[in-house]
Amino acid sequence: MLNQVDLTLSLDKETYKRELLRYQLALHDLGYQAYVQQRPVVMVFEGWDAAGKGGAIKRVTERLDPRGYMVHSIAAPKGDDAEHHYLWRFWRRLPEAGQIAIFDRSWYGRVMVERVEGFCTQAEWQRAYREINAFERQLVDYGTVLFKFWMHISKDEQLRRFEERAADPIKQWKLTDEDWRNREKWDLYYDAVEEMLLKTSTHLAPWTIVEGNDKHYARVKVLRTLVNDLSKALDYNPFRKRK
Amino acid sequence: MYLAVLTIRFLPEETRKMLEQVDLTRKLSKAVYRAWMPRLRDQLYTLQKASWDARIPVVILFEGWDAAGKGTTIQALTRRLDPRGFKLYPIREARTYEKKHPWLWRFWLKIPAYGEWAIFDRSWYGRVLVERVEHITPKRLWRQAYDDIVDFERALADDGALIFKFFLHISKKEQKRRFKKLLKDPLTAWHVAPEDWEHHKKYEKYALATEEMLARTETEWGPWTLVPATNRRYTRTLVFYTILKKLAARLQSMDALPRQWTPLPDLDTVVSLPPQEALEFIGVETAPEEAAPPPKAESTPDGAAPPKAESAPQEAVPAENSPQTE
Repeated sequence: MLNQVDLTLSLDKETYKRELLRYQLALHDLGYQAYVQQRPVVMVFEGWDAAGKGGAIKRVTERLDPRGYMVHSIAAPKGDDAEHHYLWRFWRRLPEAGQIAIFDRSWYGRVMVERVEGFCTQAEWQRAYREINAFERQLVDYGTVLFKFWMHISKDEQLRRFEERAADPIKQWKLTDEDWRNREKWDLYYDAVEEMLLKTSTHLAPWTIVEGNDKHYARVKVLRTLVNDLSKALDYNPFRKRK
Repeated sequence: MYLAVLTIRFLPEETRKMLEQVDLTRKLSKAVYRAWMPRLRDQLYTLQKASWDARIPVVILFEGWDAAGKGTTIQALTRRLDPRGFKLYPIREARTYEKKHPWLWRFWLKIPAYGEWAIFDRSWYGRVLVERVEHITPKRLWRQAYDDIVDFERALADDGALIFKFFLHISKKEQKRRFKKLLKDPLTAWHVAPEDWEHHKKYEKYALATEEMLARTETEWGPWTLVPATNRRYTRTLVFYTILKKLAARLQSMDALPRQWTPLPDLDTVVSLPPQEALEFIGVETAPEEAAPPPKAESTPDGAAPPKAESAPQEAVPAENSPQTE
């Protein structure tokens, strides 16, 4: 599946600026509409290190009402989170009706990093696909509008971005030894991602693969997907002509 | 797993009468109860500590008729547990903020941590019992709830949780008798609310909902224990016994059973024997003194003496003479 992704897709700067703003304003409108209709919205961002998850989230939230969303950065569980079932820490962070929750990394860690690094047993990540599907089904049954983005870049592009970060004093902190170690296991992660996309892309909760080599294209695609799918789910057109 | 639920789609005649098959005359004599209960309590305390060490999460939920004795059974259960090791959740209808989430959200928040016990006085089964009969929840949603519940319990069990599901059963007549008895004394009359009488009138409807619940949510990881609750001594003993047996079996499979553990005598045998023989079977000669001290309270901070004998008669009295029944 991943080898069919067209990573040459790009957007010129002018179009990017114009489209970004247009979709961001529409998203603001839709965020309010979700509040009015009392629907929870959940956005999951997964992807390679340096693929642009953080950057996409930043552009998504830029023009949203800050009272209407929360961003949860997910890492290895600590404290109470580590003392419960692995899904507990996500149930805890779900948005109430009318609110938006954005997950920077998510429950999919179980079938990716925990699988590849051996932080859980094989039995555990193998049954995780079913548990995740059941979990998401319950969210969607309640009325949650659920988005799952896989931010995809090529291995070469990742190297280029790592080296760029290493050289930039403002962004150096973003690059850690762990990133380099994960990169060594690229093929293992690739297989894990393929299996994840196959087993957890359901009719009610499909994955959206974002061609991430060009950041402009990626961000606009994320916003466009959000605006289009939210409009459909909420039956509301943010671009309608206002009197 | 889904196959199990699918095949029960049409309830066969035999399963439809599960409640009717319960032997509501089952009881345990005072002598045997008084002799055996202290030991069961000690064993429970011991295994609670062992389950903490072994990091086993435990879920214990109580469903059953009003006045069947859920509250007092839970009191009996928790009285001798280390309070740091369990959390007790009384469950009622969802509150406003809880309705802003998928219906199982409020229960996911309450699942036990590893090593902890979570005890539920009423539970997620309310969705397919009171919410069904009183039309609080639309049919489509409570129909779906059976699958949601099975998935939920399986997720917990796969992660290592032990799940105990008790349904305390009494007859419609017995319920009426208990309501009347509670209402006689102003100190206990508050137990009976107006809606309890309304529910009493709908006993058959609730029985049908219960039958379907028992059929559709009976699983190997989450089996139901149908407790004949007419006799409070038997109720409490069966609840303790069930928990002890399963917990001991799990600990044994993990090689984590405490050294001082003595195996449990078979409950059915104890119930079937006359009191004197039952006592011999359990392994006590006579009932111990009323004033037998409770197990050492290891948690007393300054090493003070364990609670003295006067606490034992205090609990013997409510067990015997209190108008506040099962």
